[in-house]
Amino acid sequence: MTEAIGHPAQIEQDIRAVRRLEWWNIAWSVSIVTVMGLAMGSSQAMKTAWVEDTLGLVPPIVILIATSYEARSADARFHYGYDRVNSLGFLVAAVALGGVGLFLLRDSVVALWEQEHVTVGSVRMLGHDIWLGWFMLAAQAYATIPPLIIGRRELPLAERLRDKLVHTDALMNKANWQTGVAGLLGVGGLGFGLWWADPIAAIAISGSIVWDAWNALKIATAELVDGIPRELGNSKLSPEAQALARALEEQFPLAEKVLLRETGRYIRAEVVGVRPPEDFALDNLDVAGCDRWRIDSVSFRPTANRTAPSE
Amino acid sequence: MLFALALLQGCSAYPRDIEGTSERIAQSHELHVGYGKLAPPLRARAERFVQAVAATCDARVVAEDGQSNEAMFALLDDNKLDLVMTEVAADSPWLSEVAVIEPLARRQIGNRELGLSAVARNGENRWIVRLESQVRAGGGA
Repeated sequence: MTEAIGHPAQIEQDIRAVRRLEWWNIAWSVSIVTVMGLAMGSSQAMKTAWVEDTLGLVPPIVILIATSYEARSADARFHYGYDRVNSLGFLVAAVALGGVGLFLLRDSVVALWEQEHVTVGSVRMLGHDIWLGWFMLAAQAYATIPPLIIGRRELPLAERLRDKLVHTDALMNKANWQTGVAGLLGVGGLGFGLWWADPIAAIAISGSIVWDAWNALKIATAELVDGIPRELGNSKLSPEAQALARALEEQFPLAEKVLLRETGRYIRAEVVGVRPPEDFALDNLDVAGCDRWRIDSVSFRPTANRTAPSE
Repeated sequence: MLFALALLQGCSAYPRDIEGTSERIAQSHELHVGYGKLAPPLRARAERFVQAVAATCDARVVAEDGQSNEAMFALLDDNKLDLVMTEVAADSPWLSEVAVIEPLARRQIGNRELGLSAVARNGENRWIVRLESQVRAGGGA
């Protein structure tokens, strides 16, 4: 947490589990990128899926970096600690993802527009000439399995840790099987002589990359501009934040407003229009429906010197 | 699952050509070949290769001669030719426009390498696999 070294005790075990999982995620992703790279040939769908798999390395790397930074205490240069490193990394990753996704989308649309006919040749193995498309299909089938398993294991951890980065990565991983199926249909269709199957699959895959990037961008920017604590996967105020706001409003009925913002996985609250009571201690604050570790700080602003939100 | 079944069912004719070159040759028993401007030894090598390919397709060779690579590649693109035998540079801009099979013979001119290759239309994957097999088997060598 912000001013302490390390993660809160309540989530330390889950943080360790998520870090272990992300190392596995990286190892599997590297194996997929290698297999896909060796098999991709000149198929647009394979090329697009390979880029998506390569970009899939970014979230686990960002998660590992962010969780390391998050464990550091505040210092003379960063008084509020490093909780937001994950949002910053996420923003950078989202922009890169979006850029590459749009580039691939353009490539795929051009291939469809120009009716490009993709050549997939053969390789000689043990005296037999084998069509490279079979290797592409096998690689693509392999590439669908690890993300499906990792995505399923990430989801409960993301929910317990209120980690949007892990949650988004889990959804991306879970959606990757659809990418895999699109790639299989693209290369498989090409084998049936359907020239349009490959670029259409590539358009579907690059579209999914752009969609992932858009979602990641929304989440990262919302936090970086001090947005409200949101539920995982949507933009509604999270139930825990609602519970905290309600508890503070009950404890300080004269307060003009209770403002909330999200810093990484933590919530910071500000009670506007009242002075802090002398005996106020965050540890004594009892909020039903909100895990204590999530509340990073409650501060007080006696005068509302800025325009408060209308709701 | 349905896709896998369809794949298995169609295995005998898999992969297929986008423009159906293999099927057309099988039906017409004619293999339309364009020869580039080749020196006699290279021309002889190219003809032996074409005869070997034609034998596997049970087709007779209908040859067209002496046009530029550009003209023959245009005929290839227009389905007027099934195969072009010509020399293509290792850094030719045509490499992405047509399917250039691994060379039967190579020679060096200055710092540029030329390969005597069979060239097919892009996307004719069954036909391309057949040509590659013939090259690897030393067809007509």
